[in-house]
Amino acid sequence: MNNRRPRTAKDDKVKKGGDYMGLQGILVDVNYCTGCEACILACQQEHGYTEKEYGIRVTKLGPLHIDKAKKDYQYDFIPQFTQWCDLCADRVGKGKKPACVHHCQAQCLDWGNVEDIAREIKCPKQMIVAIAEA
Amino acid sequence: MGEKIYVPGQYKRGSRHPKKNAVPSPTAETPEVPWTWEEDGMTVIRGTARSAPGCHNVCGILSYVKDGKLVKVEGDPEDPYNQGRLCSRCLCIPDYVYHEERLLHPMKRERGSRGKDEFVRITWDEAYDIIEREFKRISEEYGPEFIMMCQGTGRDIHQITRLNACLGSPNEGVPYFAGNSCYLPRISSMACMLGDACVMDCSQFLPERYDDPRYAVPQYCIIWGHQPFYSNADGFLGHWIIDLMKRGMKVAVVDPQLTWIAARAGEDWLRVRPGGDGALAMAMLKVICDEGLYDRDFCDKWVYGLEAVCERVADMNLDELCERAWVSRDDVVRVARTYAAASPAAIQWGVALDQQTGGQQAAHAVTALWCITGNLDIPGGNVIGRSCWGIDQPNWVGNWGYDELLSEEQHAKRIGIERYPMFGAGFKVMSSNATIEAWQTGSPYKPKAAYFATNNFLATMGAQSRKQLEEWYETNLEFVVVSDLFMTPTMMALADVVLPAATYEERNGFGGLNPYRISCINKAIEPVGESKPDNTIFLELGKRVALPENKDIAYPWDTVEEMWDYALEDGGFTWAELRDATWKYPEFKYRKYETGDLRDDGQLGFQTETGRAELYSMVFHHTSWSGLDPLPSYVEPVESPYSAPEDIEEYPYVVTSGARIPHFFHSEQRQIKKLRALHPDPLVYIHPETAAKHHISEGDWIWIENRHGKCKYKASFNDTYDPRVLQAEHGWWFPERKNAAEEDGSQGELFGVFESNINNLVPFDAGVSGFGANYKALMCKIYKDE
Repeated sequence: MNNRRPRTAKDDKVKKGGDYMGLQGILVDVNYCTGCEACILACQQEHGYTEKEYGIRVTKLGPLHIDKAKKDYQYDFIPQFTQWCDLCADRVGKGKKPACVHHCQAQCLDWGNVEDIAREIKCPKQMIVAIAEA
Repeated sequence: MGEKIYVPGQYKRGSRHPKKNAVPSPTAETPEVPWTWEEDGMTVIRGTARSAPGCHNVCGILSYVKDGKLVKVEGDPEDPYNQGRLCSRCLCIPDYVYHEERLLHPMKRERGSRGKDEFVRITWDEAYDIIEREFKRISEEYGPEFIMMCQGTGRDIHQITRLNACLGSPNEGVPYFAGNSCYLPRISSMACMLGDACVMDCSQFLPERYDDPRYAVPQYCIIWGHQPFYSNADGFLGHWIIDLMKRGMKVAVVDPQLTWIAARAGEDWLRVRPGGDGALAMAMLKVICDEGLYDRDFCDKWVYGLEAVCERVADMNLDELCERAWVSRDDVVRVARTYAAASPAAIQWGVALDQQTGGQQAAHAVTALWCITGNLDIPGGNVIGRSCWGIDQPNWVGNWGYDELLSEEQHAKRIGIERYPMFGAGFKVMSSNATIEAWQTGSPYKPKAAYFATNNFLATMGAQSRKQLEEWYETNLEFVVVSDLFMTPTMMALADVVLPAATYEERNGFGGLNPYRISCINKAIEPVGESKPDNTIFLELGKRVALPENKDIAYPWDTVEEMWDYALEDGGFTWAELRDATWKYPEFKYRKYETGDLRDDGQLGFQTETGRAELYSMVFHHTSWSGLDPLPSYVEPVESPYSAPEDIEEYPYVVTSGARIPHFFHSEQRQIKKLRALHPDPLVYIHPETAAKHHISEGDWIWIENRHGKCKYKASFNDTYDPRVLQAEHGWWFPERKNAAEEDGSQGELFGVFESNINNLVPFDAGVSGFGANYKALMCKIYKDE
């Protein structure tokens, strides 16, 4: 776990693609998301959403067997962001973190310019969801 | 009534005894932060989120208020405890505070109408008049001990002990909860062995947390019968485990369920049989003793009974123990060796250990593991915590008022004190199993009145709660008071008087239930409607019901804040000073046995008869006539595949209860739409092969049944369970059925509380200690709901 994946030419190509320049997004460290779903409620409270509206939702992937003998399983929780997510523009404008990032119990979320948070990616199962133009 | 003015520090003492601490121990430095400020046109109040709603933690919270109304809350980033985090339940607290079903005023109901929605609104004065009159009548006709005060869990209402004590009753507890099966089996086991209780050290005693140079990250942690992230049990913020994993800690997990954390343990996930934890603990103890992996130097200096333990486990058969636990020998040996070799190493355990017949004995064996490996009271191990500055009152073991207000004669009438010696040895609650026996036999007596303080036992703790309700509570209880925030099945079934309680946003207090720090519960808004905080109720009612000889010291305070000044006096600060600081941490010490900080006489060692950590418990030695074993042992649960093999044919499966859901604290929050939307139905988790045998498809409703009862759950497939094991959620009732049921007057069988209630299957049992009942290992059969 947490082995740094060797950098490849492909990585550089994607990074230099440039389409995401100027985008802001959320960095998710899937290694630590426990599925507590505090983020969903934090988002709803911040935006005054009802139970039918949410800027973030968490999907359970697993548990599935990879190698039963070694007790190797696929079992992750993956947060995804929706049309209702505005990266908490109001809060961020006042110098705060987005509500989901602030309250994440596993502290597995971060946010910022995509090109900046891309530099924080250090191991597998970390991902960036680009959300809006800065 | 005129508003009483609170003058900090000008309080009356509620005792004739002197202050405990002439010179309070020093306070650790914490960040200097304001407790209120203006922001964005709102007033922000810094405080602690405890309670109601129920919770075992004391997270720091910032409440945003506009025009007297709570707008939103945020986790307090400055608070060392939660460091800005909050869980889903607090993050919708405005929905809870302003919910359309909140109880807004006191009510009464004729006893003959129990179970029917025929409540009549009354004033607080009338409610208090009725309670005062009825408690006085019961006291005069039968005796004050016939009145019992009952609570649930996870609420800052332990001060209720002062209320029953002031009117002369020694009976406070959870009498419907077989075996007092939550933490008390573990706490009492540790207390008898060590004179104290331990908790895994995640740096929570130190305000600087992981940055404090005294702290060490555990190399290895065994998470045992515990879902830390969803349960946040007993003053333990589950995600501290994540903090430590990020800092390099490896984990093993003992759980019948492949939890998310179990999937991180790899081969060190031990898929224990529900109820087999004691066998597993003894197997690990055997590996460490047989192979001499214990810390010899530490044991020589500080441990009593190592040779006796080694002799006992030497006679046990490792293969048999592993077979009993349904864990492979290789796995047991590897985890035991890894734990013994790691330094520091910790064990973080959960309620699963308590909720089996041999829970107390299993706790004895697990405690022995961290003692013999020298992980006792060291950084990153299992450390001894005590109530901060000796302020016991916020702790449920504190029994505030018990010693100063109750006569020796009344002490002796506490139910269970003779039946179970551990209840006589310092745990001043009524024994649940002795109460269940009292209902059945009439001995020593059957209680006649009860005050259920924000407790919904029909949905949560009550083993076979329908039987308890119909055969005992309804018939014997002549008078019942229930306080809560919402109409619950328990209130609907039993209340003659209803008192509307308030949330942490609506009250002043201080957070306890942990030995780390004392923190301020800081009122952000006025109580909604006519609701009142539980402690305000206790104060106002206590002034009326205290015995004449107790009147001067029972409740001499004009305000709760003045009452808190008295409660906090051993810390050397007032409630207002606590509010100014938000948190007060007593300076923490590791290895207290080396400094004489544990013993009353100031000698080195532990507060035990031998002065050592007693693997061979002298308390159990002296009370072994009751069946208590001085040494770690394994007790097979009642009604298990091994203790009742003749039942396997009819009941081939074992169902374990209490699978945790992050959005609900036991039976609470089912009416909060945002939370319920994330988990609408009661689920039972079942292996698809097992389901196929019974023609059950995913999402089908199925019945789970044994000789005690049955219940209905929706099937959720999961092929990582042992095919013989199912796991059911608990605490389910259906507040939404209120309106549907009003037509026939039956309240839909009390909001459906007996329908998806796994406790219908739980026997009225307890281990020999009176602690530990079989909530988590129930033989059963299943079939599809047609």
